[in-house]
Amino acid sequence: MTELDETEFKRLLAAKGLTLDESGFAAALQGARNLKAEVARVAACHKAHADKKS
Amino acid sequence: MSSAADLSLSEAAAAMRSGALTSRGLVEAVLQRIAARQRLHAFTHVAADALAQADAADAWLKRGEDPGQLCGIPIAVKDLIDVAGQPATSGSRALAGRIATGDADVIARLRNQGAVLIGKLATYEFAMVGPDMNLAEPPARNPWNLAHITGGSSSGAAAAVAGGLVRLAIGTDTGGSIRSPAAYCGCVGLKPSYERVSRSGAFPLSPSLDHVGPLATTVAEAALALDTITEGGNWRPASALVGQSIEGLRIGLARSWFADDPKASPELIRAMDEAAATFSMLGARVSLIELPDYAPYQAAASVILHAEALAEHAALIAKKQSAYGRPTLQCLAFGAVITDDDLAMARRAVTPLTLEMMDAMANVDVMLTATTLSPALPFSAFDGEKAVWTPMRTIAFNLTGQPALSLPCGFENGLPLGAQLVASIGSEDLLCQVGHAFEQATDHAVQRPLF
Repeated sequence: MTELDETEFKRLLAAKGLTLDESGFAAALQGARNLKAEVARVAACHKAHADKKS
Repeated sequence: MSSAADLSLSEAAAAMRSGALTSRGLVEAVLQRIAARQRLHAFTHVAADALAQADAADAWLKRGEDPGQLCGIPIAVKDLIDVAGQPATSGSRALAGRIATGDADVIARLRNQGAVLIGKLATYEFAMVGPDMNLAEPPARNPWNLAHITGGSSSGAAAAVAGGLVRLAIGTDTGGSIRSPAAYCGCVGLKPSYERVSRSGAFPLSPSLDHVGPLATTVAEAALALDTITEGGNWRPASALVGQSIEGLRIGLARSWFADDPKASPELIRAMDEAAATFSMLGARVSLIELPDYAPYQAAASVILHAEALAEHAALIAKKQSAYGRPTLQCLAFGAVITDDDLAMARRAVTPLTLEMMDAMANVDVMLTATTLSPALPFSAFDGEKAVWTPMRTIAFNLTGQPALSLPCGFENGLPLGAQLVASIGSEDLLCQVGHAFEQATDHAVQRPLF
């Protein structure tokens, strides 16, 4: 999984109409990266369940 | 000097019916208590018509009508839940000046029983993140040590109950927002089964995970409150088994969920082991159980929560973004990275994760684990710039929808610790039976902070 980069995160925030100042953006970027890691964990969980069934 | 504010709900109800106490007298005592303990910052609004509500309850009882045990009892409400005629800001400047035009379903049920809706309680902004020192209202403070947080987001509710302002408050819980402040402040918090209590009229954070429930001084009072606010249907009364022996009940101690985490304090582990020993002494059959790994539950719930929260706030952000607190806006921003496919995948994980949890608990009646892994942090741990997450074991049961009860189980450096009991959906009666037995066998719940 490639790490979410700043440009992409700025684009996503703009699409949602969200504006953050510089330090707010840095904190949110870190949180967003952590959340993307949680998405990967959910995917791994699905894979584990599928492997268990097969 | 004793105060009517310290009477239990059953004592106050009996005194009102015998004529030894009026609701007006009780409410006056509670109003005095609220005024005397303002430094807790638990209340954001005290109802101007509190005494009029009390008089109406007195008249109701005088006529011989008895709508229920909560008639004339003052109850406070988290400011995320609408109470007609009272401010409803969800702790945010973005809703400053908003007055609720109607009652949330849960409030209508309480009002129909003659409860006195005495005021609104501090909340983390939109139940999202806190404490934030820069909101319109200061954050609630922990009654055991004012330099420490209450936890949240039902921050004022836990401070008000543990601080002796009211016996009963109504809060909301999306990831632990009833249970963690209850644990940090030393009171009882009961997150009911999903959809047992209506969420209508409560500002949504994440509708798939949101629950409305009580915080109370005792388990019996939490059970009584839950029975009052339960929607129709075939839910067994939470109070039905309170006071019955727990001999022979099977309690599974999920010790690895807290003891294997380096963030768990030694005192918390010791308190939990003592709690398990207490249940054994009461005749329950206590065994160690292994629950599934906590991380996938937290992961799926976090994805759902952030995606749904941002969707819920989209319209208000478009109009009032500058009025949001900085930590809340940052936290909402996380959700921008969740795609529709990510959300769908997280939602698809709910059923297998729930089945896995039920399977792990199949041979026990009630599961015992920690609510939080340590006591409440000091305010100084929060710099106001970014969120500080405190370790909890709560959000898994927002995902599975199982009922969960947090109750005091000890202290660390003068700050409360909380144990959590979890059962199958609809088994609040078992939770309250077991929780009440523990409360009666220990002195954790009767200890009160000094003022």
